[in-house]
Amino acid sequence: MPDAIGYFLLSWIDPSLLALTALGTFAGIYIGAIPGLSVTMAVAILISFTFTWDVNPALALIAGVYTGGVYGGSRSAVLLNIPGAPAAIATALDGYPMAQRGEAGRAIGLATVMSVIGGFVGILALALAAPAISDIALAVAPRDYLVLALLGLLLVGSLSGESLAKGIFCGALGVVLGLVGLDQMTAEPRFTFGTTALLGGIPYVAAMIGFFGVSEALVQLRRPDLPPIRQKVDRIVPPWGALRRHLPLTLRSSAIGVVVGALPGTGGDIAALLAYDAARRSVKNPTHPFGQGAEEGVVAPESANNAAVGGAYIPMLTLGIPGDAVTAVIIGALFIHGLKPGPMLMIETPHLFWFTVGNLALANIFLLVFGLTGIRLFTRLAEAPRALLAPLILVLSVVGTYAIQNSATDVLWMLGFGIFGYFLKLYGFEVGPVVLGMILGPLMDASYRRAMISAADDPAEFLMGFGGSWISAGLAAVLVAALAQATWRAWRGRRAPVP
Amino acid sequence: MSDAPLARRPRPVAGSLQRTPEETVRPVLSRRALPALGLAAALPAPALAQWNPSRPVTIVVPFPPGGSTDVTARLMAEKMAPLLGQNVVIDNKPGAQTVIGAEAVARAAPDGHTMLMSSGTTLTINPLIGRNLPYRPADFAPVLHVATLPFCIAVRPGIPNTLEGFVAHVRANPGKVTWGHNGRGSFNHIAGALIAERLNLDWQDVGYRGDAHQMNDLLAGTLDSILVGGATGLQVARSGRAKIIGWTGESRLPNLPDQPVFHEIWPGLVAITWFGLLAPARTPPAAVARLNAAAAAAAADPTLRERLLDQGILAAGGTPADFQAFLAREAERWAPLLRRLDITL
Repeated sequence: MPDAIGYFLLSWIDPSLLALTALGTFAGIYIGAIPGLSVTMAVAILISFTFTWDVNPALALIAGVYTGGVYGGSRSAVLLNIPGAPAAIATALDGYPMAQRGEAGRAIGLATVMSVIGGFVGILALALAAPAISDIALAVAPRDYLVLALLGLLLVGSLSGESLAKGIFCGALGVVLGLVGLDQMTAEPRFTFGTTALLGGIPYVAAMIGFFGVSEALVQLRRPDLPPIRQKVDRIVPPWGALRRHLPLTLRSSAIGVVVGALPGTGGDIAALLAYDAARRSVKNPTHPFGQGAEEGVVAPESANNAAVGGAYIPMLTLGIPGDAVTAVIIGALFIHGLKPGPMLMIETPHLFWFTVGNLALANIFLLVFGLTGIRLFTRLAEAPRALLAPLILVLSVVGTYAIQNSATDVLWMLGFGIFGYFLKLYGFEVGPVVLGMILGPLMDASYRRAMISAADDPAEFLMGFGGSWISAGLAAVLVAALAQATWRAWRGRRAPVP
Repeated sequence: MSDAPLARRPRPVAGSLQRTPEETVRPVLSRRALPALGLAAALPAPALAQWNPSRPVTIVVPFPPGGSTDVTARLMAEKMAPLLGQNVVIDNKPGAQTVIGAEAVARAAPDGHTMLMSSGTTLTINPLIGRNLPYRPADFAPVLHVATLPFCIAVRPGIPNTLEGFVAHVRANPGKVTWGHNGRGSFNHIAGALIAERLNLDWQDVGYRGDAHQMNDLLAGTLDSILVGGATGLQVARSGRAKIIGWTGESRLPNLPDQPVFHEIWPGLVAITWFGLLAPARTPPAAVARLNAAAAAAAADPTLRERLLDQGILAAGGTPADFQAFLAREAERWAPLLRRLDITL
């Protein structure tokens, strides 16, 4: 045990590791904040730089970038309505309306503190319950992924704005867009119209930037004369009362984040969406209605996506299975350094495990420091005149999209979706459900078909499967309850409209 | 051109963004290279044989970062950089069964500064099943056969864990035993189809995108077996919850002498994929020769060979002509089966 503490504190004591973690976290925040620059990409690039280094400094830098990057996406989501990364999509839903009310500083402050709390919950889970959580992650069957995707899709209900029908249309459109490209099971081209350009599918980060960023800029350009929104920056650090009020929600959302992060193939983006949906369902009296700047709408996804970081490390360190795209890259890095991820890693090289845990904790402390500084400067961005802000968003969107894979085609996609999104908004359709569909559609498709194969294509056996494990039964019960609750609310709403 | 750049120790490798800051913001590099090229043209023929890259060499990896192809490319790049006297940067261009990355290299300038880290999917399988493939094998000039990769079968607990036992089990339960692969038309799917055809097995295939979900389902027991590359197979085996029962290579791996190959029991049943470096066709022979020399030296490095072997990858080598011959043999090996399977991309 004393050894473990020593390894845990290694990066806190060693000045170069301390500096690398700080640098990584700082850089991560800004990489995450710029739409298109993704954490996965940043980590992939860093790995090549850290090639000749020892493994500890390399891991320190990567942990910092990962922690900072997952959080950084919230900045642009709140200030510009462009989620810096898919993990910040849910944050934009209420963060941006908060900024529109002049509360950008408060939104970012909350996002920072809750991200740090979520991050620590993830680390705690990694340190104390990694084997148990990886067992849970293993027990999640394809049919459970289907239920998770469906639960996520229920969010369409709250993202639809004025018309549920329009929201469902947009969600369905998103699912179809998400299915474009080679079918992953049969390699059959779907909706590609015989072109190779569509074989790889529609780049959904480009679509996300277009739908959120460009369409918003175009909407703002319709009224360039409106005065900019004055931002209140007197209280950046959230008051104690607000923290206490949101703490239960933070812990619940973090738990969702840890488990979803530990599932292979799902990361911070889906964790944040599910946590947002759970919050919308469970919080009785939000500070404002969800979608109109509820603090809970920022707290839930931000705690969940940072908790998912610790979650994603769990299957990587215990089983050698990547929990998300970033940990897949880290596994590659460990191989390059001659280490073999898997359960033996914890037995043969326990120092690496405790070093990682301690280092992630350190990165979260730096996140708190860097996250809470510079907010005043950032919020000035939201105070810029619309005639300046809209072109700025356009430029950022183009640069960010090009940076994804240096592809001018992606920029055209992004602009196309931006213009399409503008017209959708003009006619009262919301763009949120489209992006949601694009993310969850492929997950739903693959998990349903895998579940059917393991049920020998027998629908009865497929349904019986839900009685076979407590995870399946529990998730199915949550889905049914959510549907029942929504139906009940709709029915009650029709009888006596809630003001 | 001289070997002068060797004096400066190059930075090992940059990542997928390699084209952003340095090259686009500071085009000075390429402008500086122009007079150098003029100088090269003026030199007598023997000097031309000493071709050297004038700017960083890019290796396009048609897979996302982190996988075996990417790790191999990065290990190679690290060793090649000092030998070439230039940075060797990795550019990940994943997607569409490697078509996107391959097409980028097929269309790149044939000046010796761009190579593809191809796998069997790109140049053995795709040309045989692709109807509208935007590249042909003739668009590439082979540089080096980097490595050979046998597949392995790993099974969950509860499934017979010897090769013969497993095969008997599948035959006794037709259509019931599941095996995971990376999607129809992927190399491991086709390798599985070969095994099924040769051994007359009726097993249920399940397609996955990437390895993580497959590993998860195998370890969770919802999938009976996976036929995967060594890196993934060894990783699941290390978890202690699944076992590798056999490999599809020509002989046992030197580091795993107790794990059998199909070929021992069913002679001729071999299914391997490969990694190789290829330049765009019409790359000057002098450039190909220089790149081959550097890459072959890198692939012969003992640490690199050991790192690859840890992932079930056997480093290869040889001349561009050897690689060309290998590619022809592989295409011949798979063509009849793929015609029968009737998969089109």
